[in-house]
Amino acid sequence: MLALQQSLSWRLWWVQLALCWLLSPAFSSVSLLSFAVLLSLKLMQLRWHWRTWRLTEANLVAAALVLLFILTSRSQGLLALMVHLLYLAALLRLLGFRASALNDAKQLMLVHYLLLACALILQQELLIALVVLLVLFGQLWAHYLAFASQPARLQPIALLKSSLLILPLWALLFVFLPRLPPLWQLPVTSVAQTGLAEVLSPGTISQLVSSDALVFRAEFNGVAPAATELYWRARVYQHFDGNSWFQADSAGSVDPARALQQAEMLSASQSAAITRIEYNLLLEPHQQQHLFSLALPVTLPERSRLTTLGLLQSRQPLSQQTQFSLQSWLGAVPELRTRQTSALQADLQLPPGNPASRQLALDLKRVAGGDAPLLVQQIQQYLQQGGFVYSLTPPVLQGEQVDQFLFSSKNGFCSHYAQATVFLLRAAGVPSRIVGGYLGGEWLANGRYLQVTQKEAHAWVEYYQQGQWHRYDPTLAVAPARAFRRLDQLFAADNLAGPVAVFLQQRWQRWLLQPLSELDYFWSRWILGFTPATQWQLWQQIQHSATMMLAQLEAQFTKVNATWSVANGRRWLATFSDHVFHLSHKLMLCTGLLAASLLFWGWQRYQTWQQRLLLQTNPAALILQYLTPWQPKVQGQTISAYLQQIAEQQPGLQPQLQLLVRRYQQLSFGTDQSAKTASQCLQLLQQIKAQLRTQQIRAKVLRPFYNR
Amino acid sequence: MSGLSRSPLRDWARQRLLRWLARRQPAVASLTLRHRFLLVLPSRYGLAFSGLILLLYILGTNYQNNLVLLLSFMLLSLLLLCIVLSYRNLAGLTLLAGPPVATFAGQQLQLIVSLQHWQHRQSLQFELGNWQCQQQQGWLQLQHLPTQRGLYQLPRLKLSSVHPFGLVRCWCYLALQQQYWVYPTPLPHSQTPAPLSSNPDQSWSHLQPYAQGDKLQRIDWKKLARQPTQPVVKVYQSEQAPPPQLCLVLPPLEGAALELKLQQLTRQILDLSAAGQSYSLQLPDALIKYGSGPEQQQRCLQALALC
Repeated sequence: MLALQQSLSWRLWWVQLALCWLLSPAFSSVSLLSFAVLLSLKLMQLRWHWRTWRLTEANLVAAALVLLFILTSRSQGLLALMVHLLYLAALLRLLGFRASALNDAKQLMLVHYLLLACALILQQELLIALVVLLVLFGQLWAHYLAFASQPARLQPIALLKSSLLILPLWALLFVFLPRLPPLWQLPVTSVAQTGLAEVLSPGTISQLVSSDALVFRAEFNGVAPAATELYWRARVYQHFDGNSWFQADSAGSVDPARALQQAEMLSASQSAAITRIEYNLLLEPHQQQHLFSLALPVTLPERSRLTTLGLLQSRQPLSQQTQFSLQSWLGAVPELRTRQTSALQADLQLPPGNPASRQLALDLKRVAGGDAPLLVQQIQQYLQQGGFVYSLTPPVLQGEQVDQFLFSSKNGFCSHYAQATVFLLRAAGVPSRIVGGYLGGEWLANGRYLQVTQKEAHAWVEYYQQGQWHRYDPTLAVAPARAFRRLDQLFAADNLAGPVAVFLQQRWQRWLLQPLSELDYFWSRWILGFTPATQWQLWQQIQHSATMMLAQLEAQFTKVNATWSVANGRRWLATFSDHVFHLSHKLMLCTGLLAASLLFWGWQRYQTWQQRLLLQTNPAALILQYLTPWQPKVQGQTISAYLQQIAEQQPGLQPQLQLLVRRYQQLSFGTDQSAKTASQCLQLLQQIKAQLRTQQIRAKVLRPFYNR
Repeated sequence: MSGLSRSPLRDWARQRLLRWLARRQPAVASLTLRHRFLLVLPSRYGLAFSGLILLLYILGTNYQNNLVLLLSFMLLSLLLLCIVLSYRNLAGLTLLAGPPVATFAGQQLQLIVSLQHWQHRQSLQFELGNWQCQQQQGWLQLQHLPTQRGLYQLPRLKLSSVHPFGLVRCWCYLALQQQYWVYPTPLPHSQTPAPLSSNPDQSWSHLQPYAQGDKLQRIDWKKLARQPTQPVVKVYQSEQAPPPQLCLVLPPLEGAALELKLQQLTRQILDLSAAGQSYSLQLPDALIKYGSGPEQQQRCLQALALC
């Protein structure tokens, strides 16, 4: 029993060690250090049999540490603090753990399950989930040990059987148990935000694109839009202070139906065939409120709103991976703000300075006249012919940034071009703004879904004309390929390591990274993103197919009833059997074979079991049943004498028969009736029977030849 | 089943339960645990565990976190699986009652119930009122200190197990056809009857077939070697004379006097039996004829126990 307690304590310690690692995103360095100390103290207890803690000691340490945590981790939010306290309670309970007191173990294990859930709230990657599954398995094992009467080894067969029962049940529960919307708001951890920030300065985006991190994935229902339409809008920057651009006010929200109506009305005059597209977005948590959409979103996902800038905003910072489906209207975004004149005035705001650029804007305006599209064309021409270069590492600009860029460095990244263009437009009196977001993405899984990473971060321009905001991307004037290729492909030639490295990198990407990211997509789409909506769809589908099948059956039945003839029936049967055969013959064959072999195996096992039971109760009967067909027994002869007689006639079988006699005696006199002896006895019997049978057959078949 | 029941409601419930059990599972000599006898319900820990599952479900719902929901469903399916596993832990176990055993009031009674197919079963817990239950490999040892003489039926035995995860308790109330006698306590030695001394000078008269109760010293071992199936005993000359036949009498008494007389008689019977003398016992309503040996002793003691 002591060994059992010891192994239980060890297992619980391992589980806590793993939990410490899994929960570390919520821990500060101070708390990690104190947990490490406590964990190593427990290790001392286990390894060198140090004394377990008393309740008062544990309480004193608890009080001190709780105070410490409140002081150090307060800024991390309520959830982190709760995880701290829960983990501390578990750890202290383990330090004072008396394995003999079952109640200790019971409480501790409940807390462990709760902590595993906390680990899953903090992180949801596939790898983490696998680790959590592993730890859960270890925890379940410890749980099993706590209620076992003998130190049990892991029994693979029993485990397999149990998991065969558990897994379908688990899957069924996951798919069919009803989901609810969130019941109330729970605290979140304050984790660093990722992605586009509220302030845009020319260097921001080039920092962003150095990261490979996944931002979101999109799956289109139906035809995907062209590459030049894949401008994922995220933020709008309006106010410029000479160095940086600040996000426009996005407090007001609009009804998407009204926005669509307005957009359609405005574009009807321009008679452009504008399509609506439907797509699914799977967002990685970025701890910010802005969502992503193409052009103007016309449906609203749950718990989000449409701002007057035509952007989607979630009500809460995105702390979990989120999935929603969306419809977009691929046209110009209409002006939706309530106080338009003052708002448009703000879209003309410029700080003082940059005189050369202002002059350039006036010159271009003179050429274009008052027409905004013409002005944009002029700017495009200027950028194309002015010797501008697209680069990820432009020189640092100071002071009069726009003047420096347009007239001296002429070397920049997307945000430089967007900034310069907006400056020129505003100086020429056209309301305009910078839009931050992502351009394009990488098609994966044979073009089934689009993966957008931080590498696709981009900034472009929207200018105002007749109630609509038109998109213009000045970067394409300098680097037209940007719309179709990823940045790393665009700059592949700059790679210092040369073509071999590029080749290797591509291979690496193709063979390892892509399958992995596809697996991760599956994980995110179907496990993490299995929402109530998806569940509802699945139910609908099942219901639909069930009713379809019933209707078909009914139709066939009535048809058969109405016009039943032999030919008709035969044809119907033929088509039906064809159908069934083609649909699932392989599957059925496999299932049938599997079932048959399982049945056969089960039958064999059952037979063996029955015979073993018979051997334990009445060994003589089974021995006679096995051997008398091949070797008749004299009336009144004892079993031992009978076996002796066989041994005399068959010298080759002597050792087996001697062993059988011994086993028989053990079984019948009750000295050893264990299952092991019985199964040995059974094996011996089978061997002897096989030997006798072959000899007899040989004798019967060959004797005529000898006689002749 | 066990414990003191004070309130009338609990008494009533207990009565009902016993009556129901008596209909469902009457006492038998050999009992294999089957679906019919086994009860499965969540234990107290199982209820706490269900609370945890609910908590995880709410947590997963509120964070819209499918992994937490998956964890809660995993634990839920574990709870459901436990019902099957705990049932399978007990189902198929066979208990065999032995022959009736006997003891004297105030002395330790030891009962052995043998178990079959007990391998691979874990955490079996036997409970029976103030009896001591101890499971050793293939048998169950029950110990008890009876105070009242009489013939008793082994009360219902409670067998329970929370294996494998302590979430679900599977239990049953077993009635075994196992009887035990409690004889009156023999009075301490007051008289020492003359032991029958075997005189070596005595000449034997003849041989007669062995009957149960004959002294082992009298068996003719040489004959036994030749005919192992037919043991014979030597009969001596002097024994031919009828020994002084004793008739023990129990007068119609009641209360403490009866008990005292019963204790005296028990002592006498034990002594006479040890001496190999034959005796008869006259009870108020019955007569046990002359006889000797263990059988006679058992017959008389059982009669006394039932008085």
